[in-house]
Amino acid sequence: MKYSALNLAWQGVRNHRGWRRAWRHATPKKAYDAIIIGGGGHGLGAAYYLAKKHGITNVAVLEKGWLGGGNTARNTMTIRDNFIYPDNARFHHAAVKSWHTLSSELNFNMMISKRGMTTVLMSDRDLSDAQRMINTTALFGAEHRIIDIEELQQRLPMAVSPARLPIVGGVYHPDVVMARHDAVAWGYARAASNLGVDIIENCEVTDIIRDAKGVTGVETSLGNILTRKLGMAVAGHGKHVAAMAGVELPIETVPLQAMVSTPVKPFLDNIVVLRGFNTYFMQSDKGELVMGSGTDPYPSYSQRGAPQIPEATIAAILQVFPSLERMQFMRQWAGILDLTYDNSPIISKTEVDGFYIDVAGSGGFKTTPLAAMMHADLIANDRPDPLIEAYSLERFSTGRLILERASYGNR
Amino acid sequence: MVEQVSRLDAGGRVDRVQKLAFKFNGRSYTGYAGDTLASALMANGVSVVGRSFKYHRPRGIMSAGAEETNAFVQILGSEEEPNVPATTLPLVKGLDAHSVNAWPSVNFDVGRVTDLLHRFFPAGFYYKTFMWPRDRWDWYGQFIRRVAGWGTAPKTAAGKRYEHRYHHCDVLIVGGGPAGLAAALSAGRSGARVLLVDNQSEFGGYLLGSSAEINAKPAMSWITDVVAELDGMPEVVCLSEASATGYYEQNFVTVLERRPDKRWVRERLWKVRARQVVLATGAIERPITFVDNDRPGIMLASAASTYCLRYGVRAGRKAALFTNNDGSYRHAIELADSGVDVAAIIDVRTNANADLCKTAAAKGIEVILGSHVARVIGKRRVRAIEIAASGTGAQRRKIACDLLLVSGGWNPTIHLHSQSGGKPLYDERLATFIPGASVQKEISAGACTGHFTLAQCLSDGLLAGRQVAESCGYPSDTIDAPTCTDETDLNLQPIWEVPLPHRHSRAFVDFNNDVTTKDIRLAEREGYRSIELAKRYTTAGMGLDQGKSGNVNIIGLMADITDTAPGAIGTTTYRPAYSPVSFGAMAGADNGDLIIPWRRTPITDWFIANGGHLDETGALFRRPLYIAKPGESARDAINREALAVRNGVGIYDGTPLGKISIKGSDAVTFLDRVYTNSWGKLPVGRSKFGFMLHDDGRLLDDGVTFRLADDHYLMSTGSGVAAVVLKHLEKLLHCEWPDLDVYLTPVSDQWAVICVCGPNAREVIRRAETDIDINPEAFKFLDTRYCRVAGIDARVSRVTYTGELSFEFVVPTRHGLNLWEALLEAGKEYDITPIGSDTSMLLRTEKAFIAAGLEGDGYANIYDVGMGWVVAKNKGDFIGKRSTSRDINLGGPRPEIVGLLPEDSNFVPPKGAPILESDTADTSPDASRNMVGMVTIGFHSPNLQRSIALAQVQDGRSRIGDTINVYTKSRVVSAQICEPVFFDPDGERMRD
Amino acid sequence: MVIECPHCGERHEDEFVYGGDVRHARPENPDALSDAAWRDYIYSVPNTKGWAKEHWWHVRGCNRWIVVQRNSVNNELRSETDENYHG
Repeated sequence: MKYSALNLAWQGVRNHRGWRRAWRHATPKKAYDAIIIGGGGHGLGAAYYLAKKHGITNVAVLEKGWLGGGNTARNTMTIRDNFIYPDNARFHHAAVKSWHTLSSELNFNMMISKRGMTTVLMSDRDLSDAQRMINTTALFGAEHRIIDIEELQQRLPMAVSPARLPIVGGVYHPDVVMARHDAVAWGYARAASNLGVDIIENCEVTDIIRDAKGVTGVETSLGNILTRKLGMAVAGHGKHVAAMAGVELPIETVPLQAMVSTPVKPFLDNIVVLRGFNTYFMQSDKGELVMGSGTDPYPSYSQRGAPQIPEATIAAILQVFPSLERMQFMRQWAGILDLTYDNSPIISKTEVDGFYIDVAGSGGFKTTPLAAMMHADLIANDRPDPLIEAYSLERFSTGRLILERASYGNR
Repeated sequence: MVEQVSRLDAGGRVDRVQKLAFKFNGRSYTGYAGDTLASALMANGVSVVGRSFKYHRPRGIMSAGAEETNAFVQILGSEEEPNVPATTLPLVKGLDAHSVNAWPSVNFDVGRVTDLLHRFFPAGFYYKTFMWPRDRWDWYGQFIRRVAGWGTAPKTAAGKRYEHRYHHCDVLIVGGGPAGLAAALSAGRSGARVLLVDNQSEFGGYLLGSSAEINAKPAMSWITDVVAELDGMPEVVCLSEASATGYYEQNFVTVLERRPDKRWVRERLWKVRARQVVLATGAIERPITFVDNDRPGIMLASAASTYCLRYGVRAGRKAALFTNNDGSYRHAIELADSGVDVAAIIDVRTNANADLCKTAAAKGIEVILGSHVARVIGKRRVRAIEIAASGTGAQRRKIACDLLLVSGGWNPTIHLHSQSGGKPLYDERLATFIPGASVQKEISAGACTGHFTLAQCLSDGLLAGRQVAESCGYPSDTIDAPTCTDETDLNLQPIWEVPLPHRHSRAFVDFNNDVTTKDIRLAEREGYRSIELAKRYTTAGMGLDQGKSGNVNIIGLMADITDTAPGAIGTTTYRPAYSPVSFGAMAGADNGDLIIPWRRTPITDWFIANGGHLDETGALFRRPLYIAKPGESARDAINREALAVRNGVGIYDGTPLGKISIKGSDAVTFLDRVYTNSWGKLPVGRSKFGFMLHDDGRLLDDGVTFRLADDHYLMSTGSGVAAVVLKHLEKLLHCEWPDLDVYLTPVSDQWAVICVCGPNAREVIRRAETDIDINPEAFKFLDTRYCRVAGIDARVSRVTYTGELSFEFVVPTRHGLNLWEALLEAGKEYDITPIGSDTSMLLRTEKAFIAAGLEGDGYANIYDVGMGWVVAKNKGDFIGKRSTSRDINLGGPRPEIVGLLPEDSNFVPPKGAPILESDTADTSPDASRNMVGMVTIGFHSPNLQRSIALAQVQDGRSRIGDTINVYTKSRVVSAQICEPVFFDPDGERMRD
Repeated sequence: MVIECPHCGERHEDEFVYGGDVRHARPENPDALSDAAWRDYIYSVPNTKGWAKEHWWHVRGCNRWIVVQRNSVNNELRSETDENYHG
């Protein structure tokens, strides 16, 4: 049944008896034309686009736990476009755009809202780095604007210039979008399932079966399933799953923490980035302040963070927003990121025929629709779209890295 | 108005002498010292204290502790604070609080309309609508957001102090109820260092509001004795109003102390490292899921007892109890004993303990077995209930009451155990989750293990305390458990949802987020079966209370619906914080200049006093970008400084440069391996430029290394990367080449570096007086000498970053300012000009000296930046060699550093500007070839009187003389590619 | 995390810098390696899930690089040594 205000009203009268499963709970068939490992936003999206754009509907998505239970469930919902490397700038600008009509396309309200992002610059060096980023990304259509202290004060009336790192200005980035993260998985699952894709939860892939010609199937906790095209869209364990196919990925797994306050009435529209403190925060639709900073300083698979990161994050926020002193920290969690050597994703074919990967988005939530679309395209056509050529696994053989952090200020 | 209408004439632990006036929702009331806001409101007969999140239903006080789901308030005044549970907020004089989430008032809330239309707002309704017209969530969202959220964010800073305190102890005991106190007693008597924390204002836990007896005396007298004994123990620290909020790795527990006795600290976050932890966190009573179970006047049975016995407040005039277990009978009896009329006990079971039934009957309480509550009458306050016999269509019966106690069993507070890494287990008998195996050095004791009788709690605690102390090396004798009142087992019959009378009836499983059993059923029907999915879809358990009382009911209901065991469904993940922590306490004293320390050189204060425009330029140094004269613009200042260096003389504070002393017999081997060039032939007293790579071929750093003695070298590094370089070198030495006899010592802070540069530099040094011959023949470019200058011992070197004749003095940091001032004095006649780092950047751009951080990136190698001349052709392996040879073998186009001369000599190519082949801005992916590079830095050169830039251009070295285009948003300007050196190409000036 | 430095005793993790998996040793003779083998050394790390032997630099302490055994699943630590070899 279509999701609409009308049907909601009709079902309201009928006590909501008529709603059916958002996605079918399928049991695995013997064979599929394509299988995607990983039932998060990226994997479900890839399955959806295989069915929708490439007419390949005999597809299964295999999820080890519950749908969207990985980094789709653990992120800060922010979709931004402030990358400096041409390949990144091009891809992320297109990625932001790929969200705009997603809710109506999938007929699932992902609560996509344009919030804007205000970066608080706290030194001339920040300002110079920001100008450099703006100068490059302008070519690719990203909108960024340096704002002076007065405009910054208007946007963030509660901000106070700290003694230690006084505010010198800001960058306003209107394109930034937020989305209800869990809904992304659900929306794709429902739409894919409607097109015939089998979504199989609690199904762990334990091995990848190959012959001389490439992938022939997967071994799972629910038995063997055959396929000649296998896509991988997992986070946190990408290296280990790829290793099952004999593919070595240059990935390190690092926790990224986030935390929320108790919910309050809306007072902050923008996403705020405190450049000098490497910290950001925003207010969710529910009213919680969602806060985060950098990754933990060492790799770990533990999905819970050390306490010093929330403390440092909140201390930084209080420097600029001292009135939040009596806000309440409510909950912390950690996602585990697969980071490549250059922090850029790998959306690529591999040396094993029929094995395709979309991994290591390093905060890959923001690219979900586009990466999934590109992954599906890659699986269907066995060649990368020009948008993702730079994200090939091959770049680690040629050294042609997309090392964003090497160019945006050497910190 | 009658004061405190519901206060009992006697009893309770409140101090009736100390009357406290307070305000709630603008009305004035009084309470007593010892009250919480909740008990004071109840004493004053206030029953509606808040409105629910989604449906804005009137809500009353549900509990007497941290598990409160309804009574959240905004504290007003100078210390405004949102979302505080009234049940844990001690009443203070003048407290002014307001209900959250109600407009215009808690008694008349227009948001209530959503309740009338509730059937159109099921769980996740927003996922199904607000998409028409196409994707206008932005528009709808602004309204939805306005109704979301609870209190309001404070608008003013109170500037209060918060602090962190580190505490190490043998035993941390969380919970000061009977089990925790017993544990503290036995651990304390052993001599172990004990920290006991409890989140209430007094120790005693549930006994504070109970009629139980220990050793045939009221339990509180045992508590008082124990607390007194603990207070007398020098190694025991007891903290009340202190919640353990997070349990992290290695027995690291954070404890928030809410009102420390020291007045200057508002809150204190304890960071406790304990060798052993005892969790005696108790249990939380759970509500029963029945129709309209959220009405004001419906309360947890134990909470009603607590209000009555601890606070001397009658929670209602006429009560009834709805239960599924024997344990709760006690509360009905306690209420009856305190003079509350208890009409009936409605028990879903048929096998209630006969003795209890008799006792109840003796108190005039009717016990109705095998029945449930089928209807609640009264919207703002319960007026009556209707009950029905279970399983039959038996006729309903109405019972008048204004207080309905509920008890659906007890949930052990396993949050901290779960945070410690433990996996909760489902206990069939108790129909709840109990702690699983300990993962860290932790044991649970008392009610939080599912042991609900007082005797068990005490003996658990005594044993646990003795065990953990002993494992820390403090053996002690067994303490005999005191005798206590007999208590019965719970003998509980789980009931996850009482049959609903009508298809539009609602029973709440999460009061805080307004989630009903129908929402859970809908979630299951729509496929959100995993408890994590159901939670996220319905938001059950995600509210202000984080599901403390409701979560097990949700799991049980889901088990019922899907016909699985609750144990198979499992809990959702418990995450810190157990109860919220203020931002101030999280940050502690990390504020102001302490948040990130900053470094100064001996010249920093001079710059501050003399117009230096200071900025953070790496490695936490604040350095001047330029030193402006009064009224001078940044650009004018930089131009003046740059002209002075090229035509007269400048002086520069180079102290932030990284300096690493390298000693040992293998120093040359080491330098050969970490630099791209050869170091074998460098004589003592000479220096050499070196380039250092990462092993992946990227540029790491460049700089000059001096040979000071046979086995002593001093390496200089960029200031920003000094720490990175040290790590790089130390790791290689310690982990890869431990056989090398080389010792590194970072000496950056020990030496001040002052550089005099420009054609007149030699004259200035002469005037400052030095004891060495500085004539060009005697003291050549790249020479280094020990000398005295201006009466100060120094080392002076002829090295440069500006391309001019330069003398770089290195003196102990404490002499830095003296030398600086002496050189300024000596240079007065030549108008010696202090220069900042922006000027230095301009000068190096004119000379095209490479900055690894700007011209380097994730791809460029040493040849790309034109530094191939620093690579030794005939030497063994060095760091970065293999990756560089890979690039050479692969061939193909390379991003090479070139110079740019814009056609418009006033146009300064901005940093980061794309370089295009054609003059159109075609950015489609297929046209990516159009972008052939990027400007790395651009300046207007006052010396050349035109704009110049360095840029990375695809195969740029072979395109010298070509014209390309620099893209900016406002215009595209063509520029000619040139050799990347604009000034003094042969370097004659610096060798002068 | 508290790391036990063999020279300084138990110290908070803030005093240390993580330095990678011990098994990730630099090859003896990089010139002799194939491009693929060199790629794997440069860009890939063991990324062990479970017990790993790691280098940690006690930079705000004794300045030694020590070897620590850490379980990357729960950050449990085992014996620490100052062995400067690749195990």
